[in-house]
Amino acid sequence: MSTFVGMPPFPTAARAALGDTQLRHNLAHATRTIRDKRARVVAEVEDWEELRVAGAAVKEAALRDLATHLETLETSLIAAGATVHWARDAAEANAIVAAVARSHEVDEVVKVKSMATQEIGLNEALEAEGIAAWETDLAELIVQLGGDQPSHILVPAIHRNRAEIREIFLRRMGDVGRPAPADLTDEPSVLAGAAREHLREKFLRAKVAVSGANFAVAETGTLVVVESEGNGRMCLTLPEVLVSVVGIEKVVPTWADLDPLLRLLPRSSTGERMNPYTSTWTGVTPGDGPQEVHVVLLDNGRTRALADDVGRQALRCIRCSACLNVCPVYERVGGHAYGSVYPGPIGAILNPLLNGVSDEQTASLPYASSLCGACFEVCPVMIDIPSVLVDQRAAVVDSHRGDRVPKAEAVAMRAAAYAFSDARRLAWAEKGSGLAGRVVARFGRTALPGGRPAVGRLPGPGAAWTSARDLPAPPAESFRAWWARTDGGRHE
Amino acid sequence: MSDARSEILGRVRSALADVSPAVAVPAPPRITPVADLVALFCERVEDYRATVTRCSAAELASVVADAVAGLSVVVPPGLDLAVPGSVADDDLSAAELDAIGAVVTAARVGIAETGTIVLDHADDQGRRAISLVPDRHVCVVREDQVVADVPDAVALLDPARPLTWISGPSATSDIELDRVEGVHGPRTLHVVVVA
Amino acid sequence: MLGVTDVGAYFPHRVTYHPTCHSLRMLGVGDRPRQLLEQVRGITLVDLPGAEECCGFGGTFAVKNADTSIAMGTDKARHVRDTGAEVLVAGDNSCLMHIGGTLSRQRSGVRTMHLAEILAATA
Repeated sequence: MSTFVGMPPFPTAARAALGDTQLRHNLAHATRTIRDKRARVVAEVEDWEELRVAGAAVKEAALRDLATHLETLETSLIAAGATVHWARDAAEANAIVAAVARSHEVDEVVKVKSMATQEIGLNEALEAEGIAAWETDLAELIVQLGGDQPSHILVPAIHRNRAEIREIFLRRMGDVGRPAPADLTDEPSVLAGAAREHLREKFLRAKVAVSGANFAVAETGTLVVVESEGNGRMCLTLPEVLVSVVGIEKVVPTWADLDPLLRLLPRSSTGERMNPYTSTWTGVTPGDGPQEVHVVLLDNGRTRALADDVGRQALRCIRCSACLNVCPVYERVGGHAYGSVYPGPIGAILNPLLNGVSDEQTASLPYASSLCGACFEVCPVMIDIPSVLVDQRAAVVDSHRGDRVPKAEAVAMRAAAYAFSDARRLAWAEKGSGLAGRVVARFGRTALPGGRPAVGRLPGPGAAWTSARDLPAPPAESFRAWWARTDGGRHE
Repeated sequence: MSDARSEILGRVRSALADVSPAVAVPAPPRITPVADLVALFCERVEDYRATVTRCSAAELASVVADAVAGLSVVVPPGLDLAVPGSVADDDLSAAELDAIGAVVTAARVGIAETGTIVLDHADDQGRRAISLVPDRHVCVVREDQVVADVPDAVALLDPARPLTWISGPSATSDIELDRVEGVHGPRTLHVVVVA
Repeated sequence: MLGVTDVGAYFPHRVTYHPTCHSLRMLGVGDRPRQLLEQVRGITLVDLPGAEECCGFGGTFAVKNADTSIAMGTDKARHVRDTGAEVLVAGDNSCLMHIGGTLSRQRSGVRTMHLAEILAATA
């Protein structure tokens, strides 16, 4: 499950997040900063739209012939000295990683930031086996030490500011290794320095590392990890054993296919021309890096998404998080409200596609959007997130068709369909609405600026709208009635 | 219960049963050619707050010696350059590398558009650990190794080799999206571009 | 489309324009409505900060996720007030109902009008 257990549906979680002033401030600052950075480096690329088209096509081509590419990938990996495992779900993947760790009799592994391993809850599964999994990405370290959940794909501690991070380091680092220096300040460079010292002893002694992969090249058996801090290089280079958990949608057919993706990802993600470090490796290289290399190919709902004709495109996602950064909903509520390691617009489609919409929390996600389209506009692989959201809303509605007691919304929609499907019924409805309008105009005490009568606070179902917004009163006469009375305005 | 491999491949095939595998993949666009690739490369590397020094082949040895002055230095066994006081890597342990102040390597390719150097860890660059653990990386790039953009580099590189693409020193933006140079990788990157 | 930018309207007021997600990202009308407004006689057209960001209406989103919708609408209303405009204009009545309802509840004194109403105004 990619969703956090026990999370309330989105509207409930969002309400709590909206009231957190520190969170609102941290998010607004961070998303604005990264949006501006992205816009600057994207504007630099003269053919950005063509590049998006090429990137989307590479991923789409890979998905549409996925079985072939997966078999090619497996063959190439084995030829390069890697061991390939297949995992249908989270439990199978976790068991494979744990078995590798156990076979080397270790009680700890170091980890590169990886969405797939978060999705399957690998750290918790290893902990249950008595194996500590040390997150080595700075933000993941902040989240792990803080006993927290990630709230962003790229910057998982985006909800924390520097003062909070300093507190977490001072309080927790000493419990799990080298403590933070007592004179730690909240300067980002000082905090990063403390993380360097804390983690270096772990890098130097670790025997087993766990990673994900941004891309897996079928024809060559090459895995790719894109990162910034060098913790990835440490994990991919120093330990003797490397296990990489790779979602089956990460495959690209050819080495040359990396070109558009490596150009699109950093600009969309961190707003840089190129990220500081990209590592590629093909199985085992004698005398250089891990001499035992495992690759776990993970399904965990991906084939479910693949079977969805509209939703399949979500598997093109390269986890850049540009959609989160431009999303006005994400900017206000943050990542935790989505209740998943995949928050934001992409999470609002990916979670239902991977898991189905049978639980209330996941079923609330397709509605967590105003469908403004900003996410589609920035997506480097052109995932039409708004269309998939609408399609997933249909899936939620379909899942309730058999309900004995229909939802109020379903009743309202049926009533609307009844009224709109017949001209006479519509006329009656309009008369009713006109009457309501005249009542409001006569007795209401609220008027919109400019004088139009309006409704203030309403009880019951109207409260959702009117708790903070006035509602214009319906016009006393409908357009159709006016047209009939005046012959289209000729006898006003 | 069937094994995971055949079940997953079976699920993939049935998910795509009615889907045509044919997708037209257009060639990715190429950037407008730049007159002075090396100048652009240097400018873009400096944008990452790396140090860039341009020099002639005759000046190289002294430029590199200055760049590592006062530090213990490791070099790959196949480096075609004498670095005074350096030790050649002889399968040093990670802990031994951690006690060394700097590393000098060659490179495989430089990418002008993105200010990236790529190591393919051939003998003049050494295994991956030596250019990772020491805190200062001095990387020598020949002007004729600089290409225009990512696709040129992808075409030149051999995926069978481990590759490290380096764009500036190690960095993070994890704290308030404020970029800080220097986390786990070398905190100082000095690129020497030799004519 | 018709190449007409001056429709002969007269509207002597301070106005700010919200481009709306639908016009901007679905229909791709670009700055054409703005060009029309610029030619209206007597108008003072002021830029709306954060104009391209969604106002938070979003159909059923406005009631299913009322809290988030209101948070977005409140920010949009604040930007509108910051312009000092008397009138907020847009080409989408549902955005106007949402932002207008928020501005009204705030007793801001800013009214909302549809683009067509301003282009049809003559006196």
